[in-house]
Amino acid sequence: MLFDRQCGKGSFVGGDEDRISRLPGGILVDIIYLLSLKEAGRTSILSPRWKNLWKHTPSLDFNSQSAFRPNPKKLVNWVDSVIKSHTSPTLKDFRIGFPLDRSFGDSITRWLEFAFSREVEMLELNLEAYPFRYCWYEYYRFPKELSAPTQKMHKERQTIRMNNSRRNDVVRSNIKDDTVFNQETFTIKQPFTIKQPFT
Amino acid sequence: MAAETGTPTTLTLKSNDDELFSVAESAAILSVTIRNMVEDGCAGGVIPLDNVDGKTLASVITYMNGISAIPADEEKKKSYRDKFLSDKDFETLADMVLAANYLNMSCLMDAVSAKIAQVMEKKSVGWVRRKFGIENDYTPEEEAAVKEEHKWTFEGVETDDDN
Repeated sequence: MLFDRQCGKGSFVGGDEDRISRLPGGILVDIIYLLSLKEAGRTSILSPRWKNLWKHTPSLDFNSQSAFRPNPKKLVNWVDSVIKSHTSPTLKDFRIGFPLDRSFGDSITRWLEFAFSREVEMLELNLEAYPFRYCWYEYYRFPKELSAPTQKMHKERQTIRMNNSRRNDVVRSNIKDDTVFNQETFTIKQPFTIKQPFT
Repeated sequence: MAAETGTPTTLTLKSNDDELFSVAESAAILSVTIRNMVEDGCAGGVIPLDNVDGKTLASVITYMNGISAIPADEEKKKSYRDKFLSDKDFETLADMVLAANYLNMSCLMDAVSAKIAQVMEKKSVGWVRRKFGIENDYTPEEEAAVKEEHKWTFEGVETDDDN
């Protein structure tokens, strides 16, 4: 029951009834979209009406926020469980902002594939290690090949920002041979494939 | 309505409780719904807006006139919107967001959504329920199951009995 009928005069009488829950689902999703991801998820607990609304939000912003020494395993599970229940066919933005090294490479690659399959407009991957924290930090390497879907791309607006903090980790796209994917904002104007230049 | 030379075209809008409002076409076409009617030549005579009551429509027209009088300056438009919404209670905001949705006025919809979201930010589930009079019709078992499923939403959050 995502989209209620539009309510005209007489549908809402009085000030003390549950007015907000009677707004059409599309409007409630617009409101939820403006909340942080955790706040958005918490709206599911309000009432059954709200249970699945947050799953339609087009914004998935994963940040470890205040955690001084975040638990990577926990964070990975968090992303995995949100992705599993998320149902919006498209994404305005998808952001990962916590230190993850190569041992989580398979998960990271899956997330990228997920974001591309949802026609993401803004993708931000910031896996930088905290300074002095991870002495033996092995940086994530992009897979040999990773393709964005070709159909229905938001061509003019799609932006990818990746910060993997590895000086030599140069990733090229098939748009321009010299496009460097590292620590740059990059606007995609056509379907693309990320290719690793080295073996 | 026929435009006389030099006179701005005026449209007549009718609310669902039969109130009539005159509004300059240049302001009314902030609504994509109305703009489409004008472009299709369907805006002659009275435009009935079946989903908007008179009180809300009066308010929306105030907004249309106010915002269209501001030249292309996004900062000024934003501060007008903030001021316009600042004294509105939730009932009015809910009416307004429905009207904006029906009239397809994205700038007003976004502003009202943002205002409602602001109220919910950084608040516990219990607080939001009380504030908006949200009826919790979960059974205790269902609520516990939903909380379990969304445990991650409480990670790093100071919890209290309210959650």
